[in-house]
Amino acid sequence: MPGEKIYRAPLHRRLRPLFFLSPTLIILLSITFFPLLYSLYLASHTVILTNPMLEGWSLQDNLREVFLESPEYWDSFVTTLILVISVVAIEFVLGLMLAYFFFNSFRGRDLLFPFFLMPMMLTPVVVGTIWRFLFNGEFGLIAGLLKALGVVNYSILNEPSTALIGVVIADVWQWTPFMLLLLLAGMRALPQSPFEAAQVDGANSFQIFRDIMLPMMKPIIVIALLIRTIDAFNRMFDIIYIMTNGGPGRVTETLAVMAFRSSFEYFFMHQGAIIALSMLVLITIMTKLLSRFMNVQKGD
Amino acid sequence: MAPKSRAYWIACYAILAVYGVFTLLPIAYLIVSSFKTQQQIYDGVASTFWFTPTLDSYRFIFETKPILQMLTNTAIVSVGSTLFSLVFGTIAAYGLARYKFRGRDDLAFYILSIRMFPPIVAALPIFMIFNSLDLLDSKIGLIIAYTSFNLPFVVWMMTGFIKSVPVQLEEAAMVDGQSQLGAIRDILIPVLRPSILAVGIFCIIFSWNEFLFALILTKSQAKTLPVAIPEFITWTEVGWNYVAAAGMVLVAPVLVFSFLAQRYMVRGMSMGAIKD
Amino acid sequence: MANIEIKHLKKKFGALEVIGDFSLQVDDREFISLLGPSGCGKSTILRIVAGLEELTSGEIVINDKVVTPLEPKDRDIAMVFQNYALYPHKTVFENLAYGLRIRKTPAERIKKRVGEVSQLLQIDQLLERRPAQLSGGQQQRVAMGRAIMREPAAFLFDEPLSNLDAKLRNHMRVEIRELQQRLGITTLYVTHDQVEAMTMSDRIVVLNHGAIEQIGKPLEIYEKPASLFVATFIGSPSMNLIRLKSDGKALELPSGDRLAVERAPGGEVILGIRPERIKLSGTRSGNSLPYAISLVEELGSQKIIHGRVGDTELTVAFPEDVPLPADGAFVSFPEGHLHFFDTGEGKRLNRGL
Repeated sequence: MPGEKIYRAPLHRRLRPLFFLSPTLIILLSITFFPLLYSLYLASHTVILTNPMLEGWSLQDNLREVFLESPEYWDSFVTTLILVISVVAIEFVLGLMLAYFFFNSFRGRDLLFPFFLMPMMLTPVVVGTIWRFLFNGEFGLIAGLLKALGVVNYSILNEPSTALIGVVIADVWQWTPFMLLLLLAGMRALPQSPFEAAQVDGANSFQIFRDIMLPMMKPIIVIALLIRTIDAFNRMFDIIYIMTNGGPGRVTETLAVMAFRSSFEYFFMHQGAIIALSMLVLITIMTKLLSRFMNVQKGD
Repeated sequence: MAPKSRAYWIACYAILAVYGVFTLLPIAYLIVSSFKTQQQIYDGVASTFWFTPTLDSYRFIFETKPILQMLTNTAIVSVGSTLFSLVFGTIAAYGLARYKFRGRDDLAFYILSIRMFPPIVAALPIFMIFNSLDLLDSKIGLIIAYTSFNLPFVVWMMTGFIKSVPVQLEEAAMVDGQSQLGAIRDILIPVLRPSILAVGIFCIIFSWNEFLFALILTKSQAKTLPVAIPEFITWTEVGWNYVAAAGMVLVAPVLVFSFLAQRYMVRGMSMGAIKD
Repeated sequence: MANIEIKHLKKKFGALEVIGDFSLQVDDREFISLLGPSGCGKSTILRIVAGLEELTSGEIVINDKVVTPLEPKDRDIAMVFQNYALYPHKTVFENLAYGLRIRKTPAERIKKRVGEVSQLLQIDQLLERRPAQLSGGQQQRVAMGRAIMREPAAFLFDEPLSNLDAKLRNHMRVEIRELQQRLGITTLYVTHDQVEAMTMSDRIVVLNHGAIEQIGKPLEIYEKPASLFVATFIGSPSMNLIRLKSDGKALELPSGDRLAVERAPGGEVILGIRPERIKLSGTRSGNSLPYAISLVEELGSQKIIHGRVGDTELTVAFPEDVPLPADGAFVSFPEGHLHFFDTGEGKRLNRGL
């Protein structure tokens, strides 16, 4: 149409989304983007806190040091993988089972529920401490019980073959409630009618669980697994730091612990930065793979 | 639901009983140990729950360490970071929930992905940057660091919550004669109050329990209580009663708090999780 | 005095044009319905008039004032939403009072006005309750009350009755219309329900895909639908449509039967006839066709009869008190009630009929 006047809303109205979002974006950019850039700087230079004389570009040397010259990185890589997979798998199975019980109700359910959730509220450092002492060979409760069974002065965390199991138990103890909470919420949000239809069709409880409930819960299961995988990978530092500090030897030294020790025990900041950045790459790949594997669609 | 078989009920109660003991025993162990003397710790399994309680351990830790100061630091940093994140995060969430614009979903995803950052990736450079900005061992510095995980969490949760409130409520207020900001203040915020409370509670707990940043970024002035816990252990594993007492001081407020706020938290969690 | 004028309104979402060149003049005190299927853009038009959504081009005038760049609060309108949008944390009293409170009206005046309005709508017993404690019909009344509190220049309704059950809907229909006439407030009313539009409006705007199909008084729209879309959208059961050939004097049905008519457009056309206009009888007359009944729906007030002329399906509405012909039924089409549409765009072809 000739002479058609395109209407322009007042500028302040068109910029409104920006107005709402800009403070947060500025804050987030400055506390993530700049540190990330700085990480890249650290990774590509020699930065040793105790020896400030050494400096300059050394990306290739740094990469070689971390990835090729010693097997330590790859040991930690495998440790991390084993830990994350076993912890998430156990927590999922336990969480699903408990969620099913709580979904179906039993006597005293509402009274018991908050107690079952308690571990996830506790400070991870304190959780690590509790389990460290429970496992203590001299006076720990578990060692005491083992003693009663005839195993004397066995300290799970001090044995290279069992230390990792100790860490897994502590993490499962703390985070299974989180799975329980998410999965239970997912179950309660399911519509009733498919269950009634399946019952009318003559399915038994187990068939209903396997054929109706699980498939319908897929979105929440994916989310729960994703959150726990990411958190286990990223944040399983506190518990290990306090329970074993990576030992005995290096059997429980995950990538996060290794990055920390490189930076703040040996003060090789560049090594720590490389390990940390490799974690960022790994977590990105893992999330992508996991969400593709579960083929979830993005968006709402 | 379909009626369950006898076997189901046996399995149900057996597993719940075993898991219940597994869950509660460590907490009970922490509690009783904090009321023991160093000698009583060695008294063996039989007297784990059978002993004369004493407050000696608590007295000792408060006398030898600035527990109160660290507790205050923990509280200030947690509340500070939470308030800061709630204010800016909710405003940003409003922009994401109520407007359609190019790149909105990517932006939302970027904000969420910050929460998936391994904290150690941020911690190293933040340490170096704070070092040069003289922000190490300061509460302000720690508040800023905690915002890096609290703010994305608030944005993500609140976006879902705001989307669940019909936009017509604000529109009705605007037609009634209110400005947009006025409609948010008069209508949206009061309606969302339980959700905001739930999200805030979670932020406080996250911050209260945080360890890595506090370990790296504080020394004495701004040190929080979680960082002090390991220090009780370094002397050859003998002070379990002291560690337990310090742990109790740290954990008890959260436990009490979370029991009081349980209703909100469960609601907040489940709604947020199902929304996306 | 308040009128609403919408001039050459266009709205695009990205590349998608949802409303193309829409113009409408709502006179003072007039009640106009925007009627159309979901997704036809009727709610978008209403929201643009309210200022809740930006337009792409065009102009909105309320009460002879261009309001296009103004915020909703400065347009002097009131709106009733489909989900009522009552403020859940406020009591009914506060819901009603909110608009006046914003304007810093003295407390006594607010109280007096709430009293008047709540009595008018018979919600004066509910003032201390919160919306969650009200039934659907009561919430609807409160939403209405909130709209009339300020005596606005215009009412905007966005499918206000679609969340109510059928009985309540019929009741509220009458009530809204009475209220609007008593208060004399210019009204724009969006609905997908043809009965609402037919019974309440002074004029109806039938919309399809963001464009006006027809504007007219309810009976005009019913008697002289401007297009196939309007013809089928209005009326229940909907109009029978038969594609046939015409030579201007006679219509050749797909069954081969020929119907003589006085005047008809020639060529391939679509014949429309409303089920309630078809005459059904047990005896053959000059211009009637044999009709095979396949199903009878009893509605109490009338019977809906499904059947065929040859292979052409034909629905007939038949008054309930007349017995159906026992064997051998015949239908005839009164000439004054024949509608002709072209086969391409479906435009009405009758001239002067």
